[in-house]
Amino acid sequence: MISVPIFTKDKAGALYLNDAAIDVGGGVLAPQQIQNPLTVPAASSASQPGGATTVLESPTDSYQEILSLIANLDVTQNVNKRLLVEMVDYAHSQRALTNRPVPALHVFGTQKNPFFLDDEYTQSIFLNPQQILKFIFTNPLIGTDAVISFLAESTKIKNRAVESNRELMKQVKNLAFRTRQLLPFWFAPETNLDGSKIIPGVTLPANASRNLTFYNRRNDLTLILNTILAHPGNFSDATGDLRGIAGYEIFTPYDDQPLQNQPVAMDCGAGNPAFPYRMSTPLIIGPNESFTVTLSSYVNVSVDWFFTFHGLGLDSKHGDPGEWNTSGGYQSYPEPALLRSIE
Amino acid sequence: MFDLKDVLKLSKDGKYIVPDMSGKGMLPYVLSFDTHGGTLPVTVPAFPGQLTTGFIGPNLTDADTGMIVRHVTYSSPSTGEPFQCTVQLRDSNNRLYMNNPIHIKTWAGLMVGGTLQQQRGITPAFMFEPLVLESAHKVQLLIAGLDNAQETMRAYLHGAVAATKPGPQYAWITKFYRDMQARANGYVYPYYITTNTVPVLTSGQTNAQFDVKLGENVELFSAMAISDGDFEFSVTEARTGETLMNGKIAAAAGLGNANFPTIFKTPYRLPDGARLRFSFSDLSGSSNTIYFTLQGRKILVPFSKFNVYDREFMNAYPVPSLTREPVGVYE
Repeated sequence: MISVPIFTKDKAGALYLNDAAIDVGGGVLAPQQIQNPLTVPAASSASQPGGATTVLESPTDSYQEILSLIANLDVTQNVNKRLLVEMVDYAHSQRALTNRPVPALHVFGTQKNPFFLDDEYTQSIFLNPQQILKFIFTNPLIGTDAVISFLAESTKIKNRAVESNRELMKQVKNLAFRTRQLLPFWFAPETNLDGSKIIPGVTLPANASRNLTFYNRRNDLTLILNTILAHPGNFSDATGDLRGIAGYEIFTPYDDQPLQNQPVAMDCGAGNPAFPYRMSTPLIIGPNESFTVTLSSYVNVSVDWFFTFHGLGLDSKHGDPGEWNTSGGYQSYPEPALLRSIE
Repeated sequence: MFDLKDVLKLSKDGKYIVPDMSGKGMLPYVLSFDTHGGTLPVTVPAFPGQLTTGFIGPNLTDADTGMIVRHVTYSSPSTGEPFQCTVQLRDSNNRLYMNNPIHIKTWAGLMVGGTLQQQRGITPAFMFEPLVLESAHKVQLLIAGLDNAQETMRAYLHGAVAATKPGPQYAWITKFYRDMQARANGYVYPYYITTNTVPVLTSGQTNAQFDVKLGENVELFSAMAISDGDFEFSVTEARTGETLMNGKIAAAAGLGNANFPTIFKTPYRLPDGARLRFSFSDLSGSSNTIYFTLQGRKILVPFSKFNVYDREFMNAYPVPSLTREPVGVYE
């Protein structure tokens, strides 16, 4: 995360406000449609979902480091539980931040509890001036439009500050170096809800088990997964509150070793962007590797489940990064001293 | 516990970030009750009934290094309010991890931010000192129900296991486990402190005092409480009169639970033989049962200069710096 000390000293030791601190501060990126929340039209049939696309664009005068994502999704609405989103980072060769459309409820936090991307578990998104992060929404529900307002909280770094402040330039170069290869990544299962090729998830019949297959189809992407996000679709049951209505078991790639001695109840081992469940140590999935998650129902009704991993992607497809400069050149070899966090 | 340095490194020419596949040698693991304790969820009898179950350290193929536990969660599938109970951990060496049973909401994290059909989140309780559970070793959990009816529950320990035996190719895992096992076997382990008897304050009762004598050096990181109503409290080291706060503070302002504990910015360190005095005053205006827990770790090695705290705690030992170096000897 970019940070600039607010005070600076001259050679004589006198204290001054740091000029650069004026040009580095909090920012908010919103899509253009924010004045009128984005409407994602309803699907016309099971095979023809509704769709809408929008972008977050960094201004011409500044770099942006996106630190968190926020939306106003009402979690009780069935349409919001099934709303899907894909993110494409145009600042980095149009790379996708998801392996396929993932539930929007697994991407956006709430205003009170945003989904932070700048902690040790994941990676912020760095945009050069006038570069965009594209959001492609898909609404698979027939007959109901989805309405979403969302935004990204960011650190705004003015171009002029980067050009004039050496220390800030180093920080930006280092961040550019990291984000060139590291990206936040949402990893949804290959398995689809019954009758759908669109929605990643599984319909769990009453008291039954189903497998989810997670397949990293990229041959240039290593995944460092450390967060589990899950939510159930709507269901009805006369008994009222049903805590832990399903459990999951994760099995390792290749040798299928279980990573638990008994199924883990969802309410003890899966979260949401507001309160994400972090694993104590990450699960590393190499290129072209796959693994299985088995979901088991604990209740007497059929329930749709949406299950997503989140973490870091390490993208190794880029070639020689070349030199980074403020006038359009893009990447740089890092300043060795600035890479302590990785070395 | 998780550190990017363990799974990422720079290429030799410094131009690229590359994965360090030795990171695959450590896997996440979630451990629930030993299946001999019953298929989940287990049933906890009504008050004053007890259930004894336990956790057995996992034994993965080709690895027998046990598990490092960092987080704890629990849930109750029953309807209504999550049920209440006390828990006490004891290992096969008869080592207790709590001086007395503590309330489960001060030990394990519970689902937050959602109810039926809503998206839900979890904030596992964090163990500041990890619990090291060696492969095939058992930790016993004594669960005592506090409700008037039997209830069902699940509980999980979340942590990491080695996917392979430590070796040269997994140098950091080898070092990590050696350090952890040395700690577990020798000198430091997680510890929770609560009152010897559960305070039950009458309406408006003030200054109800409860003493706890500590057997070994203790370092405390957080405080938590579950109570029927609001109260105010203070914590004092009784031998020296040293206080943790300059006056009584309201629990509503100063105490969290296992999900969101009150974390001490600087650890509260107490030497062997210290006596903690908890003083509670009711603010609720009705009968008030208080489960108060401090989380930290026990440290079995002595201080390097024991005179430092002996002087502080007024033991009978002479203070060497005064007896051996009288004023004027270095003229």
